[in-house]
Amino acid sequence: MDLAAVLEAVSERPYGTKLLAGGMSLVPMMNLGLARPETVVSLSRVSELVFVDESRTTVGIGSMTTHRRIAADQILLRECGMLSEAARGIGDVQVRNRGTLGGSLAHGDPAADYLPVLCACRARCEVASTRGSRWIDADALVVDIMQTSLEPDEVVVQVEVPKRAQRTGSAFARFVRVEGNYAIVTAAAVATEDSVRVVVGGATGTPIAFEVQMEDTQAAGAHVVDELEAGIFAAAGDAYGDIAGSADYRRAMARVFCRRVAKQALASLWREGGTA
Amino acid sequence: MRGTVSINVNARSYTVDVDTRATLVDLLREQLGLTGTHLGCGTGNCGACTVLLNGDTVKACCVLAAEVDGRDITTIEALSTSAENLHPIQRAFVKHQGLQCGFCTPGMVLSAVQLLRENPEPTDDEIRHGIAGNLCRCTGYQFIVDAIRAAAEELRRG
Repeated sequence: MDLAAVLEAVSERPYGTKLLAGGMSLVPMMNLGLARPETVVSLSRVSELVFVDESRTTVGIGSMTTHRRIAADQILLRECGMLSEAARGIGDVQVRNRGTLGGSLAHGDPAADYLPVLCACRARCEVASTRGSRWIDADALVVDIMQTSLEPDEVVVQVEVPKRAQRTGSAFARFVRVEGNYAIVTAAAVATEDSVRVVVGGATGTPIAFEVQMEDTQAAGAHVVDELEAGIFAAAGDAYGDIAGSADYRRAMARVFCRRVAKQALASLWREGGTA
Repeated sequence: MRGTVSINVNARSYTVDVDTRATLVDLLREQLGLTGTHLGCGTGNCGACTVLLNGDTVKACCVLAAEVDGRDITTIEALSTSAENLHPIQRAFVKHQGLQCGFCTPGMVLSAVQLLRENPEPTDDEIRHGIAGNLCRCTGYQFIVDAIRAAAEELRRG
């Protein structure tokens, strides 16, 4: 089956159809009776959606690329190491063997590991339908808990991550009680010589971002981290609570992990000469 | 709705009529009678249904039977032909008491197969990460880690 056939199948009954990628969230939800789609269209045969390709300025990652491949891909390790790091912490071996980038994004979990990373490095997603294709910025993809800006007939085709244009430090962290569980918060930071951008997922329905720009992040020192922490804390005002943690707790953890990744990203920029 | 899938399970070919709602673990247990693959949670947490799909471990409760058409599956039944002829990993589980009730064991062993194939000399930490997708409620894991470490040594000796 190719992508065109999938788009055609989905367009016939967009509201009753659920796309199946790796199935690591959808199949358990169907087994529990929480999801009862009329029709399931599987993407597992659409080999054109499995790739990691680089151009001069970007890296394109096909939506059906598994977490396992993203965790170990040489291009990604070089150009966006924190995406590989995020992939290494998802679920467990079996989940990473099967689960995919596009599936994770389209599922719309606000604490999904990839989302803050993609937002921090200003990635975008190509989505397609029989009506054509369009690009959605990573920070506009998940609009609330389990809700995305995808139209019902749209399929995630690829994610495009910009290559780092200058000296960059980055860091990713996930806060979780038991390894492999859904994260309580996830955080990613990208630091350059004149800006630091932090994105925190999991505290609120949609990832929150805060960026500080200045002439020289090194000269600004600890002040940059304080400013980022205050910005993220303010942005996390509508944090949600669930069994894993109350809204206040999530908001507090957003602040803690913002601080942690910002410091790490700056440290890697200034002490180690930068990372992907 | 029903459909036909042709699969290769433990090097044997099958063509099976399946309910399109059925999962791979249903297919293996109910239709092929391969009950060594256990069904625990049905939600991708416990790993008791772990099998190899084209050589890599997956949780068979989270894969639809209709998706495995044309694929190769390896279940625990492929590892040994009799109790006297166990796979080195299975022997190590017996020797080090890496099991008590045995429910998680098929999945644990197959996760160990994938781990040791990719990393023949794992540290204890790497062993723990390798079996992170398999829950055991009896052993406290230490004896399983001991068993996998011992199996790795034996497999390296050849």
